[in-house]
Amino acid sequence: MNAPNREPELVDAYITGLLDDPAAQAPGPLDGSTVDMTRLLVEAEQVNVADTELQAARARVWQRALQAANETQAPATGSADNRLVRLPFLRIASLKQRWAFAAVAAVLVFALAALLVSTPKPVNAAEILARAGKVASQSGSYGLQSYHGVLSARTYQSEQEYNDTYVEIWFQAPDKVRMENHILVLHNTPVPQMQGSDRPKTGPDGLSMTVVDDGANSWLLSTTTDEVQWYDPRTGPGGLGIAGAAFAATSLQSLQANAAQDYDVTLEGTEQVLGRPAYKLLLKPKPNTREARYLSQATLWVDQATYLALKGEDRLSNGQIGSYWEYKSLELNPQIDPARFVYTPSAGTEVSWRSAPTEAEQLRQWSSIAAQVQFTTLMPNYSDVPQGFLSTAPHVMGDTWHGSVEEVFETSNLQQAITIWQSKGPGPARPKVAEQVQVGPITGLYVGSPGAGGSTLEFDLDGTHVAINVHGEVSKEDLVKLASSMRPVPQVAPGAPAPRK
Amino acid sequence: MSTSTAMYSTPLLTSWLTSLYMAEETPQRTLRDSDSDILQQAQSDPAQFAPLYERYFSDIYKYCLRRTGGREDAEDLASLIFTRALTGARSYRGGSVRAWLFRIAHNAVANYLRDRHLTLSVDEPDGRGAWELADPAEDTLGQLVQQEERNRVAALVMRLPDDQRELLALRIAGGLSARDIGAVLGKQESAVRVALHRIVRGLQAAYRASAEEQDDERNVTL
Repeated sequence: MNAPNREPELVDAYITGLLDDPAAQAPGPLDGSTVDMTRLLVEAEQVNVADTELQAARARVWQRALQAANETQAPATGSADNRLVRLPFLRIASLKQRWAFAAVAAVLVFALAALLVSTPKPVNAAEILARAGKVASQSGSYGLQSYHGVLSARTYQSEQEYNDTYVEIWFQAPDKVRMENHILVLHNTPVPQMQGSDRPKTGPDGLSMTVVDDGANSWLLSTTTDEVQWYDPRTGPGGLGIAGAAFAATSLQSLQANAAQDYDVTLEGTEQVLGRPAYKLLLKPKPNTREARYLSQATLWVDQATYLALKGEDRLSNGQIGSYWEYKSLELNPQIDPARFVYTPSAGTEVSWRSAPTEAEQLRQWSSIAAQVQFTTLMPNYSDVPQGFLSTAPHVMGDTWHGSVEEVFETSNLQQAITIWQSKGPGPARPKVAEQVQVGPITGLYVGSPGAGGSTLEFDLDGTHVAINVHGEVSKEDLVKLASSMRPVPQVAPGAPAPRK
Repeated sequence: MSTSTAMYSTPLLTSWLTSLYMAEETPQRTLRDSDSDILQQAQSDPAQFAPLYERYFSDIYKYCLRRTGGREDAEDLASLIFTRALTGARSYRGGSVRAWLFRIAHNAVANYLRDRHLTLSVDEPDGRGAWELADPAEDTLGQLVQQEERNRVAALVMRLPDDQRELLALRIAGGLSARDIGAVLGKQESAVRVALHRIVRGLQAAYRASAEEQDDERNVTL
């Protein structure tokens, strides 16, 4: 008999061996009975499909998927304006948002350089930017598993008015982030010297804000207001700056086309930053672009060894500097205490939940969808979506899926999902095992699957059949509440601002 | 304070930062032919997804086949999974692309099983299709015995709870490592191994019990 903590590993290794080679030898320490059962189990559970059948299925499935994807993606592509609307963090409305945003931008830059130590050096500006972008988005790893650094930044509010910030950042691959942002100077005045109504509320750490992102949850903690906000890591402050492809999935992806069209990038040479050789890149907005209205140029210094951006500045269209930042210290691949990336709201802490996209954006999307399908589309009230579930955007599934409309809500760790599927009604006859529930004025059919972590609710309304599938733990009451909130999509004139709460 | 420049200063920095990513436009496959690189290229052109499809179709299809029991359903599901992968490439957050795909598959299969649960009957177990019939070439006595043993184990597997069948399907039919399964199911790699080990142990006990039952029946018959 093996030590209990060793046998699972051995069994797993034997399964791996059998999957590679049916005649694989079992690891020595496993007893005969376990070996026999593992082998029988693998043989019983393996799926053997003839090559010809597999090839035929491969071709059919690809054709169907590609067709469906093309049908689905075409209407999902919005205008540049629409894409920007999905980025609530770009609407810099409040001072607090500006701080968060500036800090996030700083973190992004830090992340830019993060990885890549031993790869061949690219020789053109575009490739340097590509690698820096990969580091920023965590979509490519260049060997930097962690870092800790402090950067200082000055952001100009106007020609003569600026804020000074320093940000301390800890990052652990692939997606853990902590950044502590301290505002030192606000509107040219050192925070401790601010008086009267201009003086902001400060905490023990002064005027500060901290982002903690454990990869699944992103928290924004304001030490000045005792406010705690939870964000979807894909769109929240941590995810915005660092959380890898999560970032690419939102702002970078949305801005990609726009920025690609709007900037010319050149390699200006190399300079020393923090005692390290760095590429100096110049980005210039092309004439008649949105950026050209306010930006004349931006400069970025990218570390040659790690592709981490070490320093940057940008200038407004009038030649005045817009912002400037630079790392003052940097440790690459240090050991970081995991507790740095953990935040748990204490009992009684009031947490506000921030989700994206906005209601206005949802309405626009639904209006677009309603115009594409031949049945009445129903839009949920997003405030009735169970807490923690975020929409991944509704879309038309195309002819392959009978023109149905799908919207998936996922938890930020992707472990639970709610799928709302709409199609032209009436729906198929349903069995007796379903429980009748009241969905507003009509009757729906509910089936819960205790133990299987899921449930389904179906109903017909205004000629539309709706099936809501839950993968995860959502109560019947919450599901009925969500279903009851569904209403025909209101008419919105193209380009008209959507109503806000 | 000038509102206009204040509005510009931060987005300006961000626009500039985000523009870094744009240089991705230059398609140089030699530098970015990893799974995640391909996936990023597929975000703008679904056809670019083809290498990933070639790489993972077989495992996804076999996994679907194992969980549905029928070729048509498996193809439907695989189509849905790859459609979602093609249209949802932006939801990829780094890490193993295989695990990302199987997470989509796992959710799709869960929905499928729930739907079928709704349309068929509550307790109907997973079916096993004709693709699982014994290989006709296996005609020696020894092979027949082995086949019978496999069938008995398969029957025992059918009695396992759905989460355990899902784990086996991911590990064996889908060929996922314990680490990737952990990423799909949100568990630690070690926890996946322990769960697999428990299944093996449980099947051993059930197998012994069923053998004893058979012996008892034989004795009664005699």
